Amino acid sequence: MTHDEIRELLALHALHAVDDGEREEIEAHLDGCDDCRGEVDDHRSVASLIGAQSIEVDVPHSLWERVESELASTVTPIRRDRVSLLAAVGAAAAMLVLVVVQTTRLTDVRSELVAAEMQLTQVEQAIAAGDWTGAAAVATGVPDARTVTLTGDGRAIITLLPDGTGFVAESDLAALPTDRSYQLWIVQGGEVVSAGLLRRGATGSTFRFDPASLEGLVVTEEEAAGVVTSDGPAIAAWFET
Amino acid sequence: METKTPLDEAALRQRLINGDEQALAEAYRRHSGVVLGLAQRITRNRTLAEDIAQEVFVRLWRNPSRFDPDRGTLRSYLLTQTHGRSVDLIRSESSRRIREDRDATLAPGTGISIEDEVVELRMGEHIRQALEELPQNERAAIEMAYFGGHSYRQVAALLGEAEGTVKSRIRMGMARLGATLSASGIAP
Repeated sequence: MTHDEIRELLALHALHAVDDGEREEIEAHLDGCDDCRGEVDDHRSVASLIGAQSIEVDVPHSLWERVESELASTVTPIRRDRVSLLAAVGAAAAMLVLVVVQTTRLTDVRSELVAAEMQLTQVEQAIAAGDWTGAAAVATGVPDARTVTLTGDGRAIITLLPDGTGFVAESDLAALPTDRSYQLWIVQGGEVVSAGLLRRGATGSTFRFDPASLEGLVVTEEEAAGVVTSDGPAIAAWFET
Repeated sequence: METKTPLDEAALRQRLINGDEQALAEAYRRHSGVVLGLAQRITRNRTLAEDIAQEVFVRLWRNPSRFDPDRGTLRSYLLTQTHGRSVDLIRSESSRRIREDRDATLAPGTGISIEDEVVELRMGEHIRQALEELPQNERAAIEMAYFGGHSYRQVAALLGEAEGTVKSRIRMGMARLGATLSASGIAP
């Protein structure tokens, strides 16, 4: 469909009144068209006002208990928290500083500290700008940090920091419809455990792993909310050699 | 009507990102009634509606960053998720029986009349007025799509109208609603 043809369907899309094929095409278009995305957001706001004002029911307490129990059993959510990532990078930089102190003469420490501080600043600036590739480039300067590439039908480049923080620096995974998500799995100690869902576009998703037992990383395509176990094929994978 | 400011919701979102379960409890306290209500209205099935509401809040917990306060309120985001999931379920083949049961209680011409349910369900005056001002055929097409969970092609078939006609009615009706509610200061 052309841009104009898609624009004619935006109000219907906001009401979930288009067919699956049209929905996929519109979603793909919205990824690259700010004007249309803004228009859909406005239509959704109107639709939700209609829905919200016309119905509100008493909620049984058992429903919250069900939500709580689901939280307890759910996979660890991926948190795209800049603060925690910076803390992780900061911890890694602190390790760098420790190495510097142990292996250089006292007179060199000051300049090394300045260099480490500048490195951290560069990482912070790259993250703040959403430049995950740049953040990865700087972060891999940290001792024991490394970059791995998951390959298959799609490709994802992931930076692994020595404190057990990982983040997706680049990805060319195909766009998914809104009811589907990519899920990241960690292979460690002979087991496969979920690391959570990748954010839309994958790049910038963060996760935690155990550096001592990491054996591989796998991406699968799942329903939007994710799954506890998966029998789906790997979209992209990397294994320790 | 949504009364929380974007700043409140940005802070709530950040707490969710930080893994604060109390933030989820707060979001649930604010919005679970309307989330469940919408799911129940569309599915006409209490059990299914509770499943959907549970799923919507668990999704919020797992992926809080998908909610963008710059693009709308949390209530709007949650209701969009609720509506989408409800529509998916009633359209899916696996829910065919549910749909048949539901359709049996919502025969054409007897169900999903916004006007009939507005008063007892305390619809806001501005929104009620905006709906009343719509041409009847536009309002019917919107309510069949939104509350009935039908695609515009299904609406066209149910009404015996051309697909293009129904498409235009929904598009124009939504544009009118948006303009009216925007002029009232309650929509973007």
